[in-house]
Amino acid sequence: MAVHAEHLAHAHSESWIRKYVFSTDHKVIATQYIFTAYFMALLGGLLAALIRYQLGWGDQASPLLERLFPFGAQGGVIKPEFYLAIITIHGTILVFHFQTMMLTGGFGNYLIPLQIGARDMAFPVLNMLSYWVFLASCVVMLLSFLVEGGAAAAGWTVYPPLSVHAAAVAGSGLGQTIWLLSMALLIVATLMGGLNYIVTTLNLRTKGMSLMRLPLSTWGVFFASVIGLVTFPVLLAGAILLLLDRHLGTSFYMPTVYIGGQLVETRGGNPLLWQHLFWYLGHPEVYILAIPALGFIGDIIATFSRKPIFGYRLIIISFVVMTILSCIVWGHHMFTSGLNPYIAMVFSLLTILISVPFGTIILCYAATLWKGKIQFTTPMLFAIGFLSLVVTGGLGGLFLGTASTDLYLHDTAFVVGHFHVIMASSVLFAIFAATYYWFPKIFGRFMSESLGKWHFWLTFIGVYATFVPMHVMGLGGMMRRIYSPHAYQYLQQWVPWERVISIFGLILIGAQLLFVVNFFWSLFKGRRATDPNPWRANTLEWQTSSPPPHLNWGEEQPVVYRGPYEFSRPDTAEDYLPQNTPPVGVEVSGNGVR
Amino acid sequence: MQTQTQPMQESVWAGGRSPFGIRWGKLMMWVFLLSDAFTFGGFLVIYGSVRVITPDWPDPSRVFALHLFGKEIPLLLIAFMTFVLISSSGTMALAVHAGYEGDRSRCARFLMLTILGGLTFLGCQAYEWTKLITEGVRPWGNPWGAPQFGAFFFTLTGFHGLHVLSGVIYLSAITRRVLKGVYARRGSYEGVEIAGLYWHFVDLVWVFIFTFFYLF
Amino acid sequence: MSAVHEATIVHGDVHQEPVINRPHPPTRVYLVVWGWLFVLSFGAYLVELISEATTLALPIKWSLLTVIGLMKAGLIVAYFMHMRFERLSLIYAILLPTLLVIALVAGLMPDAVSLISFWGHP
Ligand code: HEM
Ligand SMILES: [Cu+2]
Repeated sequence: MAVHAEHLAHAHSESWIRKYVFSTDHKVIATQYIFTAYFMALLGGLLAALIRYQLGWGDQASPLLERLFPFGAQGGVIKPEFYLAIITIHGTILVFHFQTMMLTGGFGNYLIPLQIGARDMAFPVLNMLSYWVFLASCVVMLLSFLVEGGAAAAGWTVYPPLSVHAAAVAGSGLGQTIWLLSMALLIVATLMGGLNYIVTTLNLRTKGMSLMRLPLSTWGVFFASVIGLVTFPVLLAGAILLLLDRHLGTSFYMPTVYIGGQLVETRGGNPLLWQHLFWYLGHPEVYILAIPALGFIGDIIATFSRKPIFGYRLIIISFVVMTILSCIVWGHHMFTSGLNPYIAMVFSLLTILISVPFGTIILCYAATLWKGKIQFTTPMLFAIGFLSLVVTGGLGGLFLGTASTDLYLHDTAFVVGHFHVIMASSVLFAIFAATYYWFPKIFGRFMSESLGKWHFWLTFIGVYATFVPMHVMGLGGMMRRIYSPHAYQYLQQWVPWERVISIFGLILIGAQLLFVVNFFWSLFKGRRATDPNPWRANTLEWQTSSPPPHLNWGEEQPVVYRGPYEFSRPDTAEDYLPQNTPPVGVEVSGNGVR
Repeated sequence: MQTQTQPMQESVWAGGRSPFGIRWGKLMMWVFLLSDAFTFGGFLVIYGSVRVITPDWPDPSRVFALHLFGKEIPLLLIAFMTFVLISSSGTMALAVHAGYEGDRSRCARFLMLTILGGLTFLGCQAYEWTKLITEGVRPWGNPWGAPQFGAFFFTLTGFHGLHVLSGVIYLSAITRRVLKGVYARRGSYEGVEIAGLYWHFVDLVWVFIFTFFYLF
Repeated sequence: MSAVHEATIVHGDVHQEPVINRPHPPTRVYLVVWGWLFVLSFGAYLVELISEATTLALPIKWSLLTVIGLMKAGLIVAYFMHMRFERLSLIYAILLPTLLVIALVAGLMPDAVSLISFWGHP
């Protein structure tokens, strides 16, 4: 059924509200996601600055801090409870509200229909709802700073008993309840989004778009959604029980304990249970981030190396293996918890095993770069930075995945350094790469290349300078989630280290201002992307105008004849071949179907 | 430009049609149910892991016995609830069947029977909750043994009951559409079939709760 | 453009498979399945009654009940939810992931049990 031109033309003479606020167009929803998630990133970054300030100069009072946080920093020094709230919210919003939502709700939402040649998601209204629930989750989470006792303070892993008993820490009052509600909303939002991504990818592909012709970005978001679909609900169940423990007096997680010298008579609960449930999602969460990131990077690397991706099928198989393995390794976060040693061994083995598909993909990407005609654009720089970070982080992971070495390293700064390299930074790089790469498509203008290159180098150096020394500190015994190294005699040797790290960390955070400026400047003043396919890429999203019209395509949906990475074929004049280019000898009739 | 390529692929996994031979709505319901299965699976596995280490678990067949004809009949109410839910699943299946055949009024009639079943089930559950609460069962304790018993009772049956309740509301909306002839005009009763999937799933969950919570 | 209209455009020309009169079993099949569900449920109830009256070993009771439960679940999924009449690809896509629940059990149970041996009953 063809869409008539008048339809497309008058389709969107609707009110501003219908068009930009309560829109069901996946492109508008994706843009809303992108803005909201970046806003959360900004807040998370500011919280990181506070953390770094505290760890570097926590012994010195600062009148400015007191002015900013009259309650959290009386006398100019951040209070311990406030510090705990800061790291908790920092971790939570950057992992969930920023990175997860940016990759799936933001770019995934934008790209899936365009890359598979569909007109929209399968269920646009659900897609819109998903965004609004997500927004509610963000608002609720931020409000928790304002309630009595402050925001949740039990860490982003919210282990009981800290998170159950209101007297355990200041943030375990209303703040913790709000944290749980916000997470429940976020889980619902991800599930609603995930339903659409999975069903759309499977059912709405245009003619000729076989699974083995899907771009890696779409594959990545697809697998991430599958992982989320089977792991988030378990956390939801766990979170509901935690809420009941807090408010209905059940004791799923609370054993009989003394808190502050007071006997708390809760009988028979098992705090380890929560650890299992949390990490049953918590570990796959890393792959919910890593797999789409790998997907985006694959698209970008192929385009800017002007080469077909090496081992496309192998990469997909690796995705599948990672998807499965990622769901059965969660125990490696619990090696020191008194976990049954037999399952500890199994978890350890499986964890090491997962480096095989991961390594395979990285090797495939390296082989794609090999002898390519590499164009060092900003997105490509970030993509290469991503590969570098993933390799570095992976090396650290080997030590943490091995039960025997983890006993020593657990809960030290080594862990913080490790997951900031492998998750925080690498995924951040993928998000930046994706932003620079797809910006012209989404907004019809380019981001500035020169600012972008500055941004890249400062971020790249900043990340290594901030997070690698943390590994060293961890090996030397610096604990994690320590309020202040200044307060402990045995940590004095790390005070200078913390200061240097803080300097680099603040430079790193400051460098992101370049990105903010670039983003908004380019939005209004950037060079116009008159060519719909400026990077000369093959995937379908580049074959429609920038920004794409409502319902994505003109009268006819595109028809696909080839894979997504046919670059530099010897038999073609151009060095790229869009997926909808018909083979020679195929008559393309009026409706685009042969 | 000179190019060759493989011919357009014709397998079901190729584009332009559904690889599963079903439309997106039904696929989405299946995928949703898969994720919901993990919520319930999570609850049940948690329950199991607590149950095996809890020594003084009250005997459910005593707790849920009904006093009838001067005798204690174990689990009578639960058995009746199971009967009702299975029956409503049966009528649901027949409603879907009537939909396939395009029989609007029969479809609506079976749907209403299904809703009736759901309401009966909810009524029984309300009775059961009241009875247990008056006997002193609380989320934090009960007269007979491990405090977790009450906690799991309220969570498992409460969460399942919420699903039944949403199912009743969902089915009512669908019935209205059947009666208004929406599906007849569309030439497809797929909406009824999708709602049916949900309802059978609720029944399916009950099978496991019945087995693992009440009978074990 | 109305939402309905837009929906038809979004779902464009793909998947125009007839929905009415898809292959489906005769009414009798549903009734038979229904009957079996009753029989099985009653069987489970009987197991319970017998274990009340005699001292049926717990493992035997539990395995009997589990088997019956799984049979009921299988019937519901296969016939009432029509899984039997769907493509094999859908069957695999929906049923295989549920195996992950086994992983959850395998991760949680040994840990719970080792708690008993460690502390005695908590
Ligand atoms: C997008 C990127 C980031 C993500 C996803 C992320 C995630 C996290 C998480 C999950 C935690 C653990 C919180 C907890 O223990 O409960 C954490 C802690 C922390 N983060 Fe980040 N982070 C990001 C960026 C940064 C940046 C840019 C910096 C500094 C320059 C930073 C510095 C820290 C510090 C110092 C801690 C506290 C570690 C501790 O004492 O345990 N993070 N972050
Ligand atoms: Cu992990």
